[in-house]
Amino acid sequence: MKRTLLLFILFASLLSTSVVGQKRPPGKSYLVRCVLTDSLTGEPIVNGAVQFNYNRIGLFTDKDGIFEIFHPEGEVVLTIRNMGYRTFFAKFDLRRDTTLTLRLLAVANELAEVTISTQNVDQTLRKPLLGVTRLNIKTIKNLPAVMGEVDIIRSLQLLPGVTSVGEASNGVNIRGGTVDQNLMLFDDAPIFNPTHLFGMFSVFPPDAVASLEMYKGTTPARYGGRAAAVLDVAMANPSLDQFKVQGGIGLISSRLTVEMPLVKNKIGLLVSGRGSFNDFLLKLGPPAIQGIRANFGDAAAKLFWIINPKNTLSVSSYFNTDFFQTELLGGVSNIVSESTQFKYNTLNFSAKWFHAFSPKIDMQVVGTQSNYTPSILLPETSDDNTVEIMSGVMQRQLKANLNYTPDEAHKIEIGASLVNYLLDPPGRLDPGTSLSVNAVELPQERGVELAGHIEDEYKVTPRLTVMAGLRYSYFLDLGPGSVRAYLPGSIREESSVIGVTDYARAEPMATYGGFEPRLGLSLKLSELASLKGGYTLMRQYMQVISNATTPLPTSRWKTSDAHIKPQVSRLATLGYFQTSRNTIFDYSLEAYWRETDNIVEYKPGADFLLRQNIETQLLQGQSRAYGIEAMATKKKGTTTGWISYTYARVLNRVDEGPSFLEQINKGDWFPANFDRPHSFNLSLTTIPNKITTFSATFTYSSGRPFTAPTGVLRYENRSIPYFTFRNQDRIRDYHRLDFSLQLNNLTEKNRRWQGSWIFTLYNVYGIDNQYSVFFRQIGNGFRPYELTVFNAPIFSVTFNIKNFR
Amino acid sequence: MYQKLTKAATMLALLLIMQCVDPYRKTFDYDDNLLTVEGFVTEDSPVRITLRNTRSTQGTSFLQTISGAKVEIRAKRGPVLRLSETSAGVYESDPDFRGKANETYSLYFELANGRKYQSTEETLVPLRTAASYSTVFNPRISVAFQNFNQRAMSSLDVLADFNDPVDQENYYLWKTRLFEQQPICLTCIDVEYNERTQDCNPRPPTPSQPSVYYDYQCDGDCWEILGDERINIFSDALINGKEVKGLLLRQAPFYSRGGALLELTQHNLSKGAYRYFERLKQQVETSGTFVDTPAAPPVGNIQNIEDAGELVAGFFGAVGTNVQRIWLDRRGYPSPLVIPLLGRDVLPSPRFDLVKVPCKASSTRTPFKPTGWQ
Repeated sequence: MKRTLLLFILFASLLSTSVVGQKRPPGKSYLVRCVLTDSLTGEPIVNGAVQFNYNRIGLFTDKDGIFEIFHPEGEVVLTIRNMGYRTFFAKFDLRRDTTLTLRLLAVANELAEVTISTQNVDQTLRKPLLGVTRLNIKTIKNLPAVMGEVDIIRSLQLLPGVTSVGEASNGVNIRGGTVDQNLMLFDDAPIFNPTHLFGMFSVFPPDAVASLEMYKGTTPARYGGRAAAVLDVAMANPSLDQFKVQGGIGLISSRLTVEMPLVKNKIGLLVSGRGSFNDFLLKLGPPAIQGIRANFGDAAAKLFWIINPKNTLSVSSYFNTDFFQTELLGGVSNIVSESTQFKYNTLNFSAKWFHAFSPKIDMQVVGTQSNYTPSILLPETSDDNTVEIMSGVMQRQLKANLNYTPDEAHKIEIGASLVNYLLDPPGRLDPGTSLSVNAVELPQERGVELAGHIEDEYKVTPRLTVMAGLRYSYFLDLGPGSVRAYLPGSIREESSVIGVTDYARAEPMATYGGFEPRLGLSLKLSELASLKGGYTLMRQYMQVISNATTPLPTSRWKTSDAHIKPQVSRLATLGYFQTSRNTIFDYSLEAYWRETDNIVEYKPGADFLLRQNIETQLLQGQSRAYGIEAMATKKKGTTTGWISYTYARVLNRVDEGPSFLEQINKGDWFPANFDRPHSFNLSLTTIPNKITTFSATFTYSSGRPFTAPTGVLRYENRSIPYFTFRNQDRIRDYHRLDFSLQLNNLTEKNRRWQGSWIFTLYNVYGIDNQYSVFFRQIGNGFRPYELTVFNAPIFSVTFNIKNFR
Repeated sequence: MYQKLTKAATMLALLLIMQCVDPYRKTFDYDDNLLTVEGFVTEDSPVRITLRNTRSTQGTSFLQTISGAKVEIRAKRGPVLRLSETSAGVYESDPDFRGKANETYSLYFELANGRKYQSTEETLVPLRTAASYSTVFNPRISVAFQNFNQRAMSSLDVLADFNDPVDQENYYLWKTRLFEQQPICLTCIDVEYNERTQDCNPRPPTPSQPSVYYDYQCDGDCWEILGDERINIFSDALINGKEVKGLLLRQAPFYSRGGALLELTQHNLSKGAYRYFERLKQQVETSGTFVDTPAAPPVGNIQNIEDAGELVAGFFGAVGTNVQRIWLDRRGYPSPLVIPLLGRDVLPSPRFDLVKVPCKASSTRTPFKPTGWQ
């Protein structure tokens, strides 16, 4: 969440000065000179990042803490940021040459955790929290990408504590959380399906993203609703003073982003789109893939309006779509179809109003709506009819935050939020014109989550800072609907139903709630080292119901109800941070322990398709995750990058009763699908000159668990493997090396446009990493098989172009 | 230029769907015992319950029959029916016993080691709609022979049509048996047949490379009984009351150009029984794709009375039944792909026409002419 405006300034003066050093450009321009010093020591601040008029391109102060620039006459909005200092924000009318002498307030406690930085303005923002990572989109764009598609989700997996089940993973697992336990926000609106084409590419259009923050440790009290981590992706603000175009042509998709000031320095619009064009290629391929269709696209638009110095308004919308057709998978009884199609769309809206009451008090009001509609289509072979199985997920939220900075020791935030969950429908079978199947529609599920929070970031002493937050959330599962009662002490199944209670519209069928404390402590041990600790409790009232290795885009979402209790996660973290004397290197060592109650697991052999009383297919249990993450980051110089090692475990336990069907692995702890104890990541980017950027990444992780047979069952002269225990074996360890080479500005003939070529080699040494191991019937026996994805080097080329000053 | 573009595009397409399924060479360290119980009460035959233990160890498994158990069928409105052990691990009722429609039965048994088990109650619901069957010529399917060797063959695909009753939930199971005439009753590898022991001679410690095969003819008629390679279940959950057409039940490969007999037994399952067979089916009939249902233990409706956590496989059911036999006439189809049952041509033994081998009756072979054979 960006709150860069109106922070603290100790002293600022406006003085008239003479023109020095530079040649004054034609037109009415004046010199802006700025001298930046530390408020306590008076020493110049080197490399302070200066932005004009919310522009993402900025300047840096020199070794004397000075910058100078000629700026056109008129209103100037100035933002100055530097690592370890509060951000300075000012707005003034430029009518003469001006010198500003600024003393920035050092925020010594805001010592670095894991910040992956490039030479970019946004790099310096720090949070006094443990386990927050801010990734700049420029960093991500420099990393090698599979088939040249810049990918936030894949890039995140290079960070410690972030893993996935494999190449085709529909999301990430952060510190032992399931994919749906992550709150993924794009301009404040939640994203329910973060990937295109079953996990191949992430859904965030890279040119529309400004930055992303990942909270895997202490989560600020303003976030709620999911149990593990928060990924807050901010959409870029449009340029308010210049028409800008950038685009790219890649092997998989092509992109175009346009930024246009509608009213100069007041209102700007950003529109970004990306689309794939693979279909015609697939048609030309070998027979095995000619039936496959794979298309995706996404588009984002944002309107940003500076109403006046105290008010800004932004309105954004985001859309994505996927279409994937393959040979028949599963299918529906009595429907003759040769292919299965998956289609899913996301349509989000968000609006944000920022109001500054005074330099000390400001407020943000945000309204969002997310609508996600996945469907499976079965085109009937005999005619043009298509049978559709679909669901609809809608989440609407209204929230307000008040930020109050009474003095330099306190930073207080108070907020309230109202979330409306609507599953309409949770599942529907639409037979179309087919007479072979019946229509099915599961009843709507509605829920409301009310929440309030208060948080204070309190600088107790120059060495100790405390962030103490408290959130309270209350969830109501609302009617109309009916709740079954099951015979106490029996297994929840059809035969043990002893009664049904009906509820009217808007009548609460079940309620849950509780406090969610958030605590972060930072103790500065020296000028260059600090110790941090934190505790976070989070409650989750809507989750994905899945029994696949990774939730499918079409997996069913389910609100908590009378039988499915909300998931509650408690996370404790401790970390040590050290910066090298020359501030080039950061080192960190973090440990965490997470306990989650009421995780949702599926019963042995569960079936979710269009099932009404889903509680008969589910079991709830506990999850325990713990790990140690070590990381070294090189932040400055020609070569930057990081190296990290993580030891992490995720274990689940399900024991609802004595029966075999109420337990998993006899009620003992067993590894989760994404339990990968050892991970090692290396990422290096070197920029030897203005033209060339070279990046390399290497990743290694332990093989994930899979369910291996415990024996062979004989049935009617056939041998059938059976599986008593879940996840007791592992696929092979995973490792991969990728390269990326970016060549910029090859021609200087036309300075208005800058082109760049990106060459990517994914899986350099062509390792055939396993994705899954499974068993197939052959005759009367069976045989194990392995599925490998991206098992050879993949070379790709992308051409990008943008106009620039 | 166009050709180059096409080539590049094809390469790219291959890359996009760059995934590969290969046999995975791994031996799994089994170490498990699984009690397996099978048996149905039906309206048209006596009850036959089999109790077996599957012992799986170090990548292999074998069956152990369970003898000496006390086995009872308990009817809700009738007497307790005591079964007697007719052969090792096989417990049968009086030959005259028949299940009654709408009666509720459960299975109870006590092993020699004192462990007691019982099933859930199952009600015998008669089958109301018997399916009708038809065949379609399929020019090319993949058929597995020994050592997972897959060969292309033509087949007659057997399809079922039926009307699902609208007023009840219906779950169906089909079991099929394909009878194929078998001229070769024994194959000895590297050694010849011993008429005295009626078996192949013991193999030498260092067999010749490559192996030599000796095929022996049957001394009379012999039929191979080929069971199902997949579990045919069908639920009316989404199609209740509809007409079902063209449900594929079995592919009968062209093992010869002559005829073959297919016996189709249709059962009306309870929901619980259906779920059991569905789980069994899920074990191996998966595709390895991202939408697969994960493997789950084939837990049925039988429970250890004192230890609910013990996994017992198998299902005791009370089921409606319809048996039909259809003659598969494989003459008159244009150039079908035919491969004999052996998967190869006959390799005659030295005295091929003189030394003949008896056709031993088993679950996979019979010397008795099957009902309906033409």
